[in-house]
Amino acid sequence: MNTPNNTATTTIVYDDKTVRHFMIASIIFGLVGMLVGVIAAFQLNFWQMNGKFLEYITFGYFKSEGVSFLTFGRLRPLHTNAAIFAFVGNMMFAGVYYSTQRLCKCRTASDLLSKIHFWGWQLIIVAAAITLPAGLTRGKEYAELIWPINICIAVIWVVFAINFFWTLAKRREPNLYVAIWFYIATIITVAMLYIVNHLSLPTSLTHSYPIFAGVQDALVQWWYGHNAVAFFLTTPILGIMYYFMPKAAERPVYSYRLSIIHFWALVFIYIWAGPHHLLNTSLPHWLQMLGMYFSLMLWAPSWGGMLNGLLTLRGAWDKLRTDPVIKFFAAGVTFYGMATFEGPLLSIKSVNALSHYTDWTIGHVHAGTLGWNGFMAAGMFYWLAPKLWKNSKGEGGKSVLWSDSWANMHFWIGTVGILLYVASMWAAGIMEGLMLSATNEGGTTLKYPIFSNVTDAKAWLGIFRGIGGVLYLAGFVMLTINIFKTARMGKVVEASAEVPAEAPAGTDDARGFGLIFRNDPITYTFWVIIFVILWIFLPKGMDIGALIIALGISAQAIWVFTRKKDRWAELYDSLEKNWVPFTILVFIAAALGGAVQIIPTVIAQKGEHVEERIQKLYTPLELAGRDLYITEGCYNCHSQMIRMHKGDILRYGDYSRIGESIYNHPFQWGSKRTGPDLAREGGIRSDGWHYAHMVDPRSLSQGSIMPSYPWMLDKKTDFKALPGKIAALRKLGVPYEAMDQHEIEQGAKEQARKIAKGLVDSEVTLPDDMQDMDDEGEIAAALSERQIIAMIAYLQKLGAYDEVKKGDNKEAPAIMDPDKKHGAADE
Amino acid sequence: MFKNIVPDDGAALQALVAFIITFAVFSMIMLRAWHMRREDSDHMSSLPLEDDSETHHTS
Repeated sequence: MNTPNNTATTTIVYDDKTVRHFMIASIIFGLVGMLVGVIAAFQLNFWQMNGKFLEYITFGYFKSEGVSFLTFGRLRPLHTNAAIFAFVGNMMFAGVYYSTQRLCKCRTASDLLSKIHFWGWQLIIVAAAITLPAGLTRGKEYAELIWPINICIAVIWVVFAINFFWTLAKRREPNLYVAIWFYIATIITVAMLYIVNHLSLPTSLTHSYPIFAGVQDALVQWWYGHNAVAFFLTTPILGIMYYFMPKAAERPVYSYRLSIIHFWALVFIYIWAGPHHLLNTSLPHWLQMLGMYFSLMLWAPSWGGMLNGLLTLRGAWDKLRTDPVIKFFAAGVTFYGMATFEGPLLSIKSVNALSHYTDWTIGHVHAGTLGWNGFMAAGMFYWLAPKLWKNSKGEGGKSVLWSDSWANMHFWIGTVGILLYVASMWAAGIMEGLMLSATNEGGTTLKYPIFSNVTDAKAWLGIFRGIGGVLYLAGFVMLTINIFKTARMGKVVEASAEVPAEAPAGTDDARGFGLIFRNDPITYTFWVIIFVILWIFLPKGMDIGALIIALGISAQAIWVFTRKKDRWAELYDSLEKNWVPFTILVFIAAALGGAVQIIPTVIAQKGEHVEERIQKLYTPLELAGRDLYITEGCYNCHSQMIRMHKGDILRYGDYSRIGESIYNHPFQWGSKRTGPDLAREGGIRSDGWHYAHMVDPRSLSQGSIMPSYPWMLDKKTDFKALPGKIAALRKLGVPYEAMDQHEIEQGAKEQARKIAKGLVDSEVTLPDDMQDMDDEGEIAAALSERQIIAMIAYLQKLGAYDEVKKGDNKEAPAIMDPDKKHGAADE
Repeated sequence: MFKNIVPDDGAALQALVAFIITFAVFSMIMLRAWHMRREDSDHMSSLPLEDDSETHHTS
């Protein structure tokens, strides 16, 4: 298995220029992403941070109650996208390019593709930074970018994939080290997740509707959202951990065997866990249960990986006192352990009942991103910088960082920042969850019926969160200066190495390609899993048959194994030297869980099959209002999903049914309740209330932190776009009756005029440009064109549904809805 | 309004399914890990340390 020592060698020069570029980009965009995060954090305490502050800092020269592109609803997606795709994305690429070349003992396959990858990715980030504050969004978390940018991302990802796999094909080291496995899993799975969740039907250059709706869209979104965390924020960083931690500690990974278990278990199990983001919602129950159980199972591989990382430092713990790189890595891996302990905990249905929609989740996510991603990035950057920009300032002419003290200070400021952030969010989240569900002794009324009671109660904790964020940002500024100074005091160098002239026999040989199909251990495992899955889906009676077959195959596998132990081990050895079958196997492992959950949902959970209730279709004006709701990012603070909990039902009304959002492209169930749920908002309050509330929320809701939306009084609704949008929705299966362009536009305008007339009659405060108008009809006509009217129309429609009588709808195929065999939907 | 809040479901079945699937995958991978030869494991785990003989020159 080892590389022969007596082969001819050749000298290669590594491409570290690309590594330097990605590293610099990561630092710059990291600063931007964190700064926007700090602003967004304070927006949740001070509504003036949504634009009003400009009035203060310009001493009244700039007057506005709010600025559209600075509101929380638009900045929060900018923050998350910048942190995930710009900061961690660029960091990941730097780590992948550096380590893959060394582990493969060859230069990256194509300098041109590396350049296209780098510059393409940065252009995408810039495009995102322009479009998100402009309100151009798909309205799905971490998947907000508009369709032309989505296509660019797919193309650039393919460029990266080609360059990476081409490099694997050129490698001179036959064995694929575990870091490479994690990179393969990242590339394959992110492509799959991204493409499926971004399938959309465009209605213009900047707007599209996702092809999935309602519960289907919710499932696909959180299959993507959860696994974006898994395969963008976790697996590549684990690969980086497995390469850079041994380098920093100058000793091999603690247990290579454990890393094998860590990898396969993680890749296989992670993908099943997405539904834990939708616990206690109207997602089919079997999916919720699978999501919860697989999340709990994730504890094992995650902690296996964490321990493997930490134990790699065995014998090097003394370096913790002096070496900032080791400090960051040790703390980063510890935060990984904390976050992966907390994640399964929050996935337990009853814990999630308390934590979901609260700041607890925000604290959990930031323990992972700030602690795991941010600290692993810092450790890697501090380790790389003296190697990418060589100096001789250290002991014995060694290349060193500009300042270890600054790096140490960064570590402590950052750690205190994370702890402040996370602890305050834990406290705020738990308090929030308890207060929102608290009832009187009889359990018949809410103890805190006014939502802003909760907002007020956690205000101070929000300040601590903001301070934590500022400290973390300050630490990152120190990193930026330190790396900049290290680069300035050193010189750009190229690294070269003597490597075998060619790969030894057995590397990517033809025999390896067949392994995926002629491999006993894989074949047995695959069929056991398939029959166990059939156990879920087959009707009662037949399901027991599937279980018996699964047990029979297992018994046969054990019998074959006892006879062919060595042969089985050899098969795996060969697989790990052949990247194509290995990659196919990774794809199968990662795709299986999603397929089992998504395919039945897409087939069974359609409007034509729903029972009990079905949503009333939006009129064209209401649809325009819904698109504005998405543009303003209202879903970032308001859910539209009343869970089956007493607190939810007492506060917001009857719990939400699948059918009530079945035609929503995209779904708007939300993930956080900074403000109240809006699923049944329609008809509760008057049009005048909504009008005044959008203009100045505090005039009606004391202590509200919601931004003001004065521009909605000035901007006009795009009536002309409505026919195209309705046509697109019809294509996607929304059962609109046939309407021509004129009917759609006129219908929308008539409804708008009716709402506007009512508002004028109730003497609302008119927009400035209408103050001089005298004729009420003229005022109503002008007001009807403004965005606020469409928004009111939408808000007043929320929760409208028709009863579905038995026999009105077609039965869903029973095999695709395992809940039916247990009677959950029979009530 | 409160009907179906605790639906009858296949909770027990889904727990078993999740466990068996995970157990099957873990078992297969553990077998592979246990049967890995020590010299192979040592070689693989030291791969990141093999590039320490790199030479650097200014570009």
